[in-house]
Amino acid sequence: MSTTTEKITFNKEELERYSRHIIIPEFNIEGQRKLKKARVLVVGTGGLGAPLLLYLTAAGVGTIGIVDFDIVEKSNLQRQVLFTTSDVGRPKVEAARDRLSALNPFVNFEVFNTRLDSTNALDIISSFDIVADGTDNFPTRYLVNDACVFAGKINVFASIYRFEGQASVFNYLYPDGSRGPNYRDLFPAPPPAGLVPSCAEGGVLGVLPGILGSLQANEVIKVISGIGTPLAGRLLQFDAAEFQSKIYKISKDPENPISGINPTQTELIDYEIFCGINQHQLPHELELKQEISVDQLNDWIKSGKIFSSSMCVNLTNTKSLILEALLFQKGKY
Amino acid sequence: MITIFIPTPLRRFTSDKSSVIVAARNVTEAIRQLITSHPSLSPYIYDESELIRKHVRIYLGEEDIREKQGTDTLLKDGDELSIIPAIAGGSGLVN
Repeated sequence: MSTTTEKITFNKEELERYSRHIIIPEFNIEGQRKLKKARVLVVGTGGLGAPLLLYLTAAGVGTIGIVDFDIVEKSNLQRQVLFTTSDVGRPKVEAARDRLSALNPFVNFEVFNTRLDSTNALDIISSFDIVADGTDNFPTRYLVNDACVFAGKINVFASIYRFEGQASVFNYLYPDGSRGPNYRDLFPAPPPAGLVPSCAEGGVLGVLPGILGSLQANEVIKVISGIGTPLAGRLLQFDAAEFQSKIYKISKDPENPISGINPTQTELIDYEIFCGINQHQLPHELELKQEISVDQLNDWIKSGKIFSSSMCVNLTNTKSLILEALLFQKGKY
Repeated sequence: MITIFIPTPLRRFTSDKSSVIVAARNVTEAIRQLITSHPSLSPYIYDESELIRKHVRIYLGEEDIREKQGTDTLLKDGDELSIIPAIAGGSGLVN
């Protein structure tokens, strides 16, 4: 990131808008200039992306990229505070741009109404200074991480699941030019498909992404402005149920497949999308549409072979059931 | 005694307990004791080769056991272990 900010100027309206930043001695006009000069890419406009985008826009980041392929659904509104009821059915990137432009007309938005994958990730990420990962699935998490490492971008990370939150700053650029650990130093590979709960099993307390996404926005602003100590080489774990937060150290792993001593992976990978139960995840004993007893299903759920869901619970009243794996695969139950 | 902190995604296997107390001399013994008392945790921590899964980290205090002696790391009374799994999710994601 270039630190030359002399040419960055503000008009009277902007100075008034950002006055509460500018009067912080450590931040001052120089911090605000750095924000205006910065280009930040936010991947995902969901629960994490909503507070991220709102705060980065309000703060006056100069250019914000927004990537999402989805449309706004009613079930998003419980946590995706960027959207209103009237946005349901609209492409998320469009609804987001409208909402954010209304919040701050001095911010430039670049929207990508597409799914980030191995063919476009490097192109999209390369033109930005910092990436903030607000995605909700493992394949995109690893894709964003790997692309940031390959493209030399800082990846401000947060992740949530039900009552659990995690945050870190990956691939941080230190003044000596070295890089901090990345996601694969912490978790070298994604979980196998069979251990990922189905979409319906996922779920999240609505306010949790608000908390973690706000922490993410804070780290983005810190990285841009150079204030404080970034959450690099450290993992924040937040347990919203018990209200406990802990910080764990993350070290570089010499065996990291993309940035270790002998990297084995030099290109981006599109991991199989493994939301929901698909054929590969079902116990070997179960063929599609095979009839099983409720007791058998319960055994499988208890032993962790398959994941229980609200659908399974409801069906325990019946004598037997035909498990339509494809229903689960779509993640609708 | 050793306290093992259970992350929220795995508490359904520990009757919602946020921590489990075990008596163990090293990390392997501690995790095995945890699994003995809560067998359904096993596939979420160990892979088919009985190794800690790649999306799960075990911490002693705030240090990754990988930075110590791995699962052979010795434990002393009052030590705290944490299980940290990779998490992702919340919305309907890709379909």
